[in-house]
Formats: sequence, C-alpha cells, structure tokens
Amino acid sequence: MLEPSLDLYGESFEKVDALFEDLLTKSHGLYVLIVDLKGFVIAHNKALWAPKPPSLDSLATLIASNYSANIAIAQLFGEKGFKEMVQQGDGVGMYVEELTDKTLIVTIFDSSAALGRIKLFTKKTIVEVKKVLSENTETAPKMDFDDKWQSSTQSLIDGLFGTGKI
Amino acid sequence: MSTINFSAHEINFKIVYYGPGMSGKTTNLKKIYENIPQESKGEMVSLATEDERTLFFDFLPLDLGEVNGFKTRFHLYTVPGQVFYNSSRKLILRGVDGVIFVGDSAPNRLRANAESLRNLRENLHEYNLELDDLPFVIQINKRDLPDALPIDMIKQVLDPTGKIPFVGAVAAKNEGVIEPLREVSRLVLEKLAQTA
Repeated sequence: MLEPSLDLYGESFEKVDALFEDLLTKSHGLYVLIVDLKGFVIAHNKALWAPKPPSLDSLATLIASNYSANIAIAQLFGEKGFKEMVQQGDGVGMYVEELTDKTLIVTIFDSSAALGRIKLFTKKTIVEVKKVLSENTETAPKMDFDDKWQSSTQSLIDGLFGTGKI
Repeated sequence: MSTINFSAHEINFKIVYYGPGMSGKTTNLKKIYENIPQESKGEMVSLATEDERTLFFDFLPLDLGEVNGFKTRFHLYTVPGQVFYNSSRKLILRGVDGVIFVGDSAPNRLRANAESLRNLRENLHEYNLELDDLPFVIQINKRDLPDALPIDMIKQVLDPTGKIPFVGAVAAKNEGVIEPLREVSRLVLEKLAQTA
C-alpha cells in the first residue's frame, strides 16, 4: 500500500512553500523542513543566505528518531509526549514541533536568530500550514503501477544489485 | 507502508535489518555501502557505542533510479541487537516496508536467533503488522565458522514451513550480502504493485 504522510501537492505545496519562505525571512532561520515520523523529508526550504544544508535524508532520519525517543522518555513519566523539542549548540540550534500526528515541522537556525523569534514564527506557520491542509480539496495524483512500471523497477534493481534470484 | 512524496516526486521504502546481537547487521550495511556506486547512495549514519556496538541504529539511503518521473528510494536501517535495547528496535520498525533477518550460524546463538525472531513479531504487532504480510528474507550469516550449524537446522527453527527466502552468507567477506537486499527490494516493489 502507498500512502502520503501528508496531503501536500499542487497548489497546497506551493502555498506551504510560500509560508516557509515567509517563516525564514521573519524568523531569520536557516532551514525549515517537514519530516514524517518514518524519517522521510516531505518538504523543505532554505533561506537565501543559508549555506548548503547537510544531507536531508540523514537529518530527517535523526530528527524523527530523536523525536520518537523523546516521546518514549516522556511516556516513562506518564506524559503522552513532549510538545516541543529545542536543541542548541554554540552556533546552530533546532526547534521541532508536531505538525500532525505523523509529521513534524523543524526550523534550524544560527546564532543570528533568537530562539523566541524562531518559536513564535514557527508556531504561527504551523497554524497556517494546518489551515492550508484543511482547505485542500485536491485529490492525490493517480499512480499507475502497471506491468511496465514493474518491469522498469525490476531493471533498476538488476542494474543496482545485479541479476539473479534466491 | 511505502511513502509517496508527490512534491518531490519520490516513492520511499523502509527496509530494516533485524536479528540478534553481533549477528552482522551493521557489517551488512557497511558492505552494501562499499558495493554501491557513489551516485546511488547517501551518507551512512551510525549511532554506535564506543566499542562499535549499535546503540540506536545505522542508516543508509539508496537511490534506485527513476521510473515515470518518480525516484524510487530505499532507506536501509539496522536495529541494535542486544536484548535490552528493545525500545529502540520498536521505534525503528515504525513504517517498515520490508525486513531482512540476519541470523547467526554459531551453535550457541541458535536460541538468540529464535528469540530475536519472536521479538520481531511482537514488536511488529505494536504497529498492527504481521511478519507474514511483510516482504521478508532471512540471511544466515557467518557460514564460515568452523562449527557453523547446518542451514537446514537453522531453517527448522526460524522457518519450519520453508516459505521464506533464505540466503547463506559471510557478510564480513562480502558473500551473500547483496542477494537478500535484492530479493527484499523485489518483494517490496511487487507488494506495492499488488496493493496500490
């Protein structure tokens, strides 16, 4: 079965992308991402002045795992979870908050941005993104996994892993 | 459950290497990293203890290529095998699409193999998943041990019905590493085509 973690495509995606740009401009953040709890990147944006980000796959995986581990810690104390997660180093910090029950919004910032400002504008963006998602009436584009698709993916597997069967 | 990202035009799958402690899960991932061309792999991330035992997980993203304008990507994870890290194992199984079980051929690890497989089934239940419904391959590692148990004996314990694809391996020597990954990838894509 195939499922998007978030119904984000077409016009909704463009609206969320614009919200992300606004968030980065107003908060002075470097990067903003939506990641799902399986560790995949759903959407991301980067401030014009920000350097090239590290591997987004690694980042999303570590953030999702870290968040899940924090929920497990909270549950040891009878909490359902921690509402937000803040991490700050000497130069870079990260603010993580739940967007939906399957996704997180993550704002990464450097020492030129104030944590309070990052939190304020990330929270405002979450409200706006939720509004976009709730107003979304587009249906997901249809994917066709026909024989041709299967044969093409099989060729890719053969190309990467070699041919043969167990 | 496979994840589709319409905005990035990606279909993503999560494959987890499971098995008892020291059976060779991380070695598998390291060998895959060595074997796969640079353009098809991302960074490998390992969260390990000082003595190189997996503490949380290892992670390696692979890019299979593009079909119909959508990239097909596999995210490979290992879990920590040691018994007391069960919370971590459970977290890593979230959203799993396929499992490779790495068993150990040593006679004194037969019970650990069986317990790890039972633990895998229990942890999948927490996500309302049944192992029998998932693409699943068993790799029996360390076939070069002088006292390695016969594969048939290990099969009797792990898969008495004989339905699960089995591969003998010496992961440290790069033998039998790619085969289970190729098979589980094939099964994962086949399942998607059947259920989407």
